[in-house]
Amino acid sequence: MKKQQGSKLIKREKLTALAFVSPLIIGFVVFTLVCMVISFAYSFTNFNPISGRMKFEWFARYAELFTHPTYKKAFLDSIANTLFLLLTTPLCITVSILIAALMNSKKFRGKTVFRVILYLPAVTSVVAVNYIWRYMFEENYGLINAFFHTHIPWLTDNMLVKVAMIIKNVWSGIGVQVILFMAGMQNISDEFYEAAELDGAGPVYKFFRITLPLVTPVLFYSIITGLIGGFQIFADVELFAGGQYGSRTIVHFIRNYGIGQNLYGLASAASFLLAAVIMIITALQFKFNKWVEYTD
Amino acid sequence: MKRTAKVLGIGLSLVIGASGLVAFAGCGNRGSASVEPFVNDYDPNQDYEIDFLGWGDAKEQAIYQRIINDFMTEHPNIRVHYDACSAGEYLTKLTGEISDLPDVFYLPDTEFLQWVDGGHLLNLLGENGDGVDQEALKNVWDNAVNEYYYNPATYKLGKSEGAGMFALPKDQGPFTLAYNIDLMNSQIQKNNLQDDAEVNALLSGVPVTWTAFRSAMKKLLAGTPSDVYGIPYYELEHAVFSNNAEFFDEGAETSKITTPAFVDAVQFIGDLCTDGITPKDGLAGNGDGADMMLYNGKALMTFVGPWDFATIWGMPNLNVDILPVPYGPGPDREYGTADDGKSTAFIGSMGYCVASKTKQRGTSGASLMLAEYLCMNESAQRKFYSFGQCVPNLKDMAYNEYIPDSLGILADEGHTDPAHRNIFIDIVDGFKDENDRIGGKTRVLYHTYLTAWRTNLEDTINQSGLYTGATTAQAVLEAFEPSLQASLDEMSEYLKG
Repeated sequence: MKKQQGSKLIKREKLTALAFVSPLIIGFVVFTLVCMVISFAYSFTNFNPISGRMKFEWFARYAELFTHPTYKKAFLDSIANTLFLLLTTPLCITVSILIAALMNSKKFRGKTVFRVILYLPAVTSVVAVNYIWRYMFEENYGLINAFFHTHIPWLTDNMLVKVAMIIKNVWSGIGVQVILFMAGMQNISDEFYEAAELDGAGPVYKFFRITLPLVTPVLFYSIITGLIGGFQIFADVELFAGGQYGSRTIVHFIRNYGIGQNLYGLASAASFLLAAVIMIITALQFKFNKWVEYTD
Repeated sequence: MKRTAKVLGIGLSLVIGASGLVAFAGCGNRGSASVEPFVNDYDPNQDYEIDFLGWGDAKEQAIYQRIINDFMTEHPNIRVHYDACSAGEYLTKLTGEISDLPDVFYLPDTEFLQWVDGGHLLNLLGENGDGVDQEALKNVWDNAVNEYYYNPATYKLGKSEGAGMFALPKDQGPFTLAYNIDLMNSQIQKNNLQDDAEVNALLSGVPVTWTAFRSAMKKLLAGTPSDVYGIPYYELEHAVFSNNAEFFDEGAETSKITTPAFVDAVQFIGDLCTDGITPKDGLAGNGDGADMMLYNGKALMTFVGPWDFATIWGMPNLNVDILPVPYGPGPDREYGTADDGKSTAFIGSMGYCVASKTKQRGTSGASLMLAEYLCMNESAQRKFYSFGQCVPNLKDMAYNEYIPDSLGILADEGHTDPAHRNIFIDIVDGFKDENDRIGGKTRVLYHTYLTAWRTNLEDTINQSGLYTGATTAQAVLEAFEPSLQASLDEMSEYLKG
């Protein structure tokens, strides 16, 4: 009797749990899974919602991305641009770790104030950030050129526009990263540092031998999320770089050449290639993550 | 637990399978335009609700709401629900509503071919007075009206035997040069150019040659800081059309970008950069930045449309007038011959379309009434031009009222610029005869099914080194032509396939 009551209770608990998570599951299924499947199916067609045409054409759209005279160059260049812009992730992480280590030191005064200042870009509108930085980098009346008395074409040169985007993105990404790394560093027991100090270790030695290895879980998380985000840059291209050729990313290609022309088959094929690359890179990172120190 | 996982697995598999089936369900279907005559089943004694989708900033939306309110006052049985978003979001929003389109909506002329071919637009031509008011249309610019004809049997755009009319023009642009009067006067004073024939000709309102244009601009720019330019960028279409050149043949099937006239047009844009008249990013510098350069005194002139005057009027220290674009020597590369180019700006912007499928019987008749009101109603057109929204669609109003400001509407508001308003009208009225030197042509993307080829052409020119003199237009265009031809072949095949 008791056993039966217990099993009923477990069943009820399960149902309650399912009821709680069901909105999330339904949302995921309807708005993510179904859309993904439909989009995957479209990638094998020449679907155009305006003409209403849809013909199954196997991998023709995937091949077009690399061979079609109209799309090949734009797609390959967008890949090159996206890969270059991924430099943002290691740069942002490096600067963030250094700032976090500095702010984490006992001698550092005004931690709270600096934390707020550094976090401000994260709570500022992406549109505002992009426009303000655009005015700062503007060739003729931008603050940066005015300050250095230069005429550097930051926003019109194919390479410089990417450098400018990286600078901007490092600035706007630092806030969140510093908070994450500081949280990681604060979890490191003081005993490690005290023991190292007894052995005569200096600050550099302590940073590389204690701090850095013990924040590798945070580092691992930052690399993965940074790279995934880096592959999906879009707003910067339009708002900051004004669609300049050297700034165009894969997502920009998907938007402008695919969806913008109502070529949903092409857009879907490019999207799935991008998703596949992100998944492969993420899987590889998990496979080769022995450098990450997981400690209790 | 295992059972739950199994159920979830089966459920997900079913969802995935069903989604795949839904995706492929439409395979093989193709929409097609119908030229069936418009049947007007509008009943004045019945109430109607119409959805109207447009775009524009808050100011434009307010203007439209006022005009729609006037329409509803005149037709109390028709309630119009006006919705608008930004221009950047508009097509995504409209495409998202493809299966349940608003009754009346804007459609850029560059998208017209896809939408009309897909069968989403209603033919507004009727029989026995059922369709659009043909008599009233006679007072609308001919090229604006003709632009929205299409014959699905021959895939031909424009008025032809058997074609239907699938939109009414919102406005016809045009897009021409405008200069900052104060900056221009200051440069004239500074460089003692008061009596310079080329500078005076440039500002006279009569088109000048490319040679005279470059020469006058160089003189005007003498002594300016390095961040001040003659013009922020040059529109490709204006250069091409004003040199009697074309991007392709009439049916958009054969590329013509390596013809001498086209090559010279692109080289002209390159020469403007090497002369320092435009910045080194040539075609790339367009957009809001170009307008800002004009407003901030960083450029003597730039390209504007009539709609820009709503902003210009709001700037107390800015005085602007317009000019016709300069023209090239034409295919024979010599001025003074019969094939000299004519000053040609691009015209056209958007049409008011009525959805081919409406929710309620009689709604299409009410929708057509709204589209006609916005396009041709005297009071609405008067409000549009007085708000700096567009030049009138109505010929008599443009010539008798707008140019001379005979009702004093513009003067009362303190809007004296542009003084040469007649140039806008000259352009939209087209080339009336052989001696007419100012006119307009529809944007090139109007003629093609897709748009990527145009982006690629501009990108290729921008990336080529033409602006630094490192290469020539001939070399750039010869290298690009196979790609354009392949795109034209594919678009033609797709449309007719």
